Amino acid sequence: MTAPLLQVRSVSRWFGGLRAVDEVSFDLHGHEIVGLIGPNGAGKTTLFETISGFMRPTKGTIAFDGRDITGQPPHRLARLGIGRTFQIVQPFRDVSVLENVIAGVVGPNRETPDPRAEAMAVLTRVKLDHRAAALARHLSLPEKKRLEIARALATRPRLLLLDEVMAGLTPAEIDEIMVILADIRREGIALLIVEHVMRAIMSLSDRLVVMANGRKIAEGLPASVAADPAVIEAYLGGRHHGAA
Amino acid sequence: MRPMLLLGVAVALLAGVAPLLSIYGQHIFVLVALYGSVALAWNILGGMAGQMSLGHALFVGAGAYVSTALYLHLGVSPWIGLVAAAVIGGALGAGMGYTVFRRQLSGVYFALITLAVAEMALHIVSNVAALGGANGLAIPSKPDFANFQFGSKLGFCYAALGVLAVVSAVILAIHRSRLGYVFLAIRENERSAAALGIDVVQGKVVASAISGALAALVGPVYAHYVLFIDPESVLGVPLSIDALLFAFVGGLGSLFGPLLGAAVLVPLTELLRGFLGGRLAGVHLIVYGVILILVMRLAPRGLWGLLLDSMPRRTK
Repeated sequence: MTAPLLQVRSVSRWFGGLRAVDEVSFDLHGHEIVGLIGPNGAGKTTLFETISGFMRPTKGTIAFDGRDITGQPPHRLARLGIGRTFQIVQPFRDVSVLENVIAGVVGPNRETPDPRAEAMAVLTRVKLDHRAAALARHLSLPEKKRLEIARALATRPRLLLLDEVMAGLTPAEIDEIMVILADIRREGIALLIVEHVMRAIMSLSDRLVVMANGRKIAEGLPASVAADPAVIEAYLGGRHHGAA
Repeated sequence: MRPMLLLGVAVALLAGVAPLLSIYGQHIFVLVALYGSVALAWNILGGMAGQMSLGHALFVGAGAYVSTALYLHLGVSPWIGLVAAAVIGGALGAGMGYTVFRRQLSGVYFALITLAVAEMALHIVSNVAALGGANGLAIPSKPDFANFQFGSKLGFCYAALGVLAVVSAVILAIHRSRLGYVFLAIRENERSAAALGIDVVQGKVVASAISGALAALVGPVYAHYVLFIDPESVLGVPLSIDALLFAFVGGLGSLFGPLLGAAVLVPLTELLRGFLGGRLAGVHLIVYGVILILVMRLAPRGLWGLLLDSMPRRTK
């Protein structure tokens, strides 16, 4: 077995007295899709922010590709190969879709002989090439979600962190995203997905990590996790873990 | 390199037009080119990279004082002074940018600090005898190419046009390079920019340095054109406001809108001044205010936006 691509070791993030993330550890291997699920307020987004460098963990370490990346700024992580999307889509609104993606191509500051062609190829991968010339603010929500993925893909990540890219979409639109994500994985990019759309996360993920109240309460294959009493209690509102 | 070619043609055309103008027309030409250059330089930082400066007079003034002091006290040719001005302007821009942006301070703080630093510079220079204090520095008239005194307004038309061409070429080069996307991403959304591998602090510092260096180029040309500088004229708040105003009216963040803003507002100011004589000093500021409000109401993307909209859409 090769070393994990991402190693999260006892990561905690406190806000004053609140332990938003509390001693969470898990591994993610290359080519793997790991789903991160849990009730609202479980600490998923906070964990995301620490892995992508936007927040420094209060305690614990994070390693990527065997090297310690704890506390590194986000732009350096992006250059190392960790791409991410934002839960609330944040396109560059007043420029074209293509230019949004070109910014992703040239962002990591490496050799790019033809950024425009590379960006166009990425748009084709997420089936947004027909909208290349449109202003980003004129896109529909599902298109904006795909642009968010395209821009992250353009940085040529080895690990892509996706924060609720399916939220607010219709079942048909979710299916389209699922096809795109399956394609991305086939290209050899590992995915860590935070998602509330259970149907999607259950069928896409190789493994699930379940969080509640900042702690990891379960980890394993989707089917076994779904049958785990602790997980059911967290989701169905057991008093001890507080599903709110 | 088609845009660069286009720029070359535009500069050649303007150079061809300058000799045909009256002396007064040439005076306006010089002013538009110089104010336009300052506004374009301001726009690299304020428009393209989205970091508002309220103190760009600092760079113009630093450039003017550095080259003039070198010339008067050490006999250094203003041509070298021009290079020194750009270096000092760039260093000031980088230093100020690094001090503020490294601390993750938002745009408002940067705006206030630029204002404060420019004011500090004004008061410091006003109290340094070697720099003429509040009375300013007069440059003796010795028309000679080596002295950056051309003996005619036409010569200054070309000098000012030269600065404008340099500033424009740098803007085009930025626009077509990675740096253009770095500035765009920072302006639009810093979190997204960082997630795409862009060093946001570094990008802002670079924008500030380039903007400062280019604005500083205007100082020496202005100084040798007027043959006199004082703190109020080259370091004062009105110049800082002019740079920002021309950029806003012309089109914030657009490529050459700020030049368009200067080309409309500078002649207007001069006409008003001539029309009113000495009466109603400052009335041009009221006119500026009205124009600014009208532009914001009717053309939020500025005159440059209006121009683009009025052109037939090219099919891509």
